[in-house]
Amino acid sequence: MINVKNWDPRLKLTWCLFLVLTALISRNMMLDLVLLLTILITEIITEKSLKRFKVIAILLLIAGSQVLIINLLFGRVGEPVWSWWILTVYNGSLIASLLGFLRICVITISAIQFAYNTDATDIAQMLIKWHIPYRYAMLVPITARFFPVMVNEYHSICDSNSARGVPCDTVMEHIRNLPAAVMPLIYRALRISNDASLSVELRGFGRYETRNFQKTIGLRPFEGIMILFIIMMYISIMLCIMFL
Amino acid sequence: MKPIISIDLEALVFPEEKEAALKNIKLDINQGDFIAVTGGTASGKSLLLHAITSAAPKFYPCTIDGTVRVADRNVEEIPLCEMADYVGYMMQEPQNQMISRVVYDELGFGVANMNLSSEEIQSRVGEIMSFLSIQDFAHRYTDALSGGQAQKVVLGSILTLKAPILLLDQPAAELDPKTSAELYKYLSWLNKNEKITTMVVMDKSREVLKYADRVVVMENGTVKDYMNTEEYKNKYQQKEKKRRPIELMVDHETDIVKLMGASHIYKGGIVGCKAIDFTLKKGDFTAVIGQNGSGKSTMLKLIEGLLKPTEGSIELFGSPVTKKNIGELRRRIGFLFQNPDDQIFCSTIKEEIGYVLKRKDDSEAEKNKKIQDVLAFIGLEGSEEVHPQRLSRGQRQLLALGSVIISEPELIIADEPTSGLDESQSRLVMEKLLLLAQQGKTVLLVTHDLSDAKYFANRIVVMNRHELVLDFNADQMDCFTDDLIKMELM
Repeated sequence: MINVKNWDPRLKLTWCLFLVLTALISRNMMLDLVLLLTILITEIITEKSLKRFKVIAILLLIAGSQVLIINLLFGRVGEPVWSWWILTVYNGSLIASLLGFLRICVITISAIQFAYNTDATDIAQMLIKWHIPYRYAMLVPITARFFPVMVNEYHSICDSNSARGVPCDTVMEHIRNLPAAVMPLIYRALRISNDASLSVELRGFGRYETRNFQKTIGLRPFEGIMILFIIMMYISIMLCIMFL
Repeated sequence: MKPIISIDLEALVFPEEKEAALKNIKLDINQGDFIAVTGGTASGKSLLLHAITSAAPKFYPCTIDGTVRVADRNVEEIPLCEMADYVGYMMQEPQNQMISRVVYDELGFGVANMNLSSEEIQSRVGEIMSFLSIQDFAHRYTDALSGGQAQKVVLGSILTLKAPILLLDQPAAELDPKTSAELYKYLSWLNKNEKITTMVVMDKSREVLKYADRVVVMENGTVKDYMNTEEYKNKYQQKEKKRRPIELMVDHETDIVKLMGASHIYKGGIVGCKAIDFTLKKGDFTAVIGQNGSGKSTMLKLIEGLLKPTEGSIELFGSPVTKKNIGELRRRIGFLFQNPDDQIFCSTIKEEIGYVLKRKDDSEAEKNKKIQDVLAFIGLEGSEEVHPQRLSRGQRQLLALGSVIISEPELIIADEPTSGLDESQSRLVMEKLLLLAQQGKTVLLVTHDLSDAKYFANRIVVMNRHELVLDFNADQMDCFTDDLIKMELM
């Protein structure tokens, strides 16, 4: 297994941006499919599994079905293939839906791949290298820390709601009873962020212009070459799309 | 000798408030003092610490008439981010104060902000980790820590700053007796050997009085008394609570809860509880005690149906618990959680109490009567339209209790309902639970506080290392003293 986590975050970001931007400029389903397969193959090479994408795959299928329904209902591209009362379905809608779905997949999955493989403090380091003050750069690891905290808070609120006759066992129950969970969650989130910000200030955060992160990032030669290669590949694809 | 902390406050007033939150406070604290701060609900204990750190008014806007000096400097002149040179401040709820994902990074957070060399940071963090014996979880995620571990990590991250003053707000509120004793022992060592001035807002634990030199007693935002510990003990401390005779109508024929060899193993093989055999009779007031992580909460969640047993079986109200009947059985149980804020989600007290009634077919008049009865029971009558978050934590816990009892549950499960409350608030909550038991309800209480268990319950169950190890009548507690000491519960 290749340990991608140790690679420079700038290389991983370039890779992610390459995939996202290529998907955005592409009008070819085959190209989008190749991009999607590339992400999945790199994931299998580095992680030997696609387990990370299990939940997002379900969400993407739901989003894809919505894109399809909207396009079939309102799309007016191509030839009519089926008609009933005021509804007319055009063949171009199906192609547009598939293209849209593939784009969403590439953008989402590449972003997830980047987030999973990049440590939040590495992202902060990368931002610092770009001369963003560390006070702002530190927001990334702080957010990474509070995401699981808020998930735990949500679960404990659901547990106590369940105990009061507001069940939260199935997905539908979670959605139906969201209003009962949202208020205490907002209250807890405000309280936590308030306490956390006071606590960091009182531990000297923001006192000096720099901070010792005890870790620094630096581009190794092969990483620099890979970044150049990815950029050149993107330019080539862009030129092909423009002139072919 | 000049005092290290000198407070001369005429008034501290929050915007749009007529009354001063702190008033007429003159207090001098010398270097190396160990001060305990005590007082009733909303007496201004935490606010006093905020004023010393200058969080009030710099973080919590307010107007101050007077001065607070730390190490002979007016705190108004010291930016908040420079206070770390003078004061290490640990607030309540340690989980809210950690901002790094990994324990090691959290411990080094403050020193990294001071821009010290990496060697110095590593040396300070290493020293504190061995001092607090937390090397084992140095690389663990901070959100996976227990309450006691989180408390140690936050304390550690403050100690690495090597500030001459430590301010601690109820540092042992969520700790079991053993961890709480350890914590105060550490603090005392620091105070005696490193001459660190320590100021602790006293929680329920009396442990702090073993080490404190002086006690500040606060009332209505002012210092009522500032005296040495012995004087305080003579004047304020109640004598050891003696068990009072409790008359409960226990029906020994009817089982409310029956656990038969019930175990629960969490994902990843973490043991919650093992082979629990336990029966709760109708009308019983049973207290479950044990250290942090002994499996008490898992057992309660099994009973409530929030978790399923991985082995063994459970019967509630005489019926085996199944997927089909769990909803029906759950309606007969009221669960009071440790943190009332998890349970409160409406914008007025009346709405909160009446939330469960929305699903019932009672007439408006009947619903109102029930709400009024419950409000009278919890002592919040006349406050129907008040927002729950304006209440003190103790009152919010009573409100949560009210929202539970309005559905007239046959069994009330209370998971450490007095955690984070001071002595008077705890007593209020416990008295209400006892009253319910005397009215014929079955009460199952989980607590760290042995005196609560001894004073209010008629039966005590002890959990240790995920197993139920002792089960006795509360009258016989003295016979089990040795066992309880061995398990570090006394």
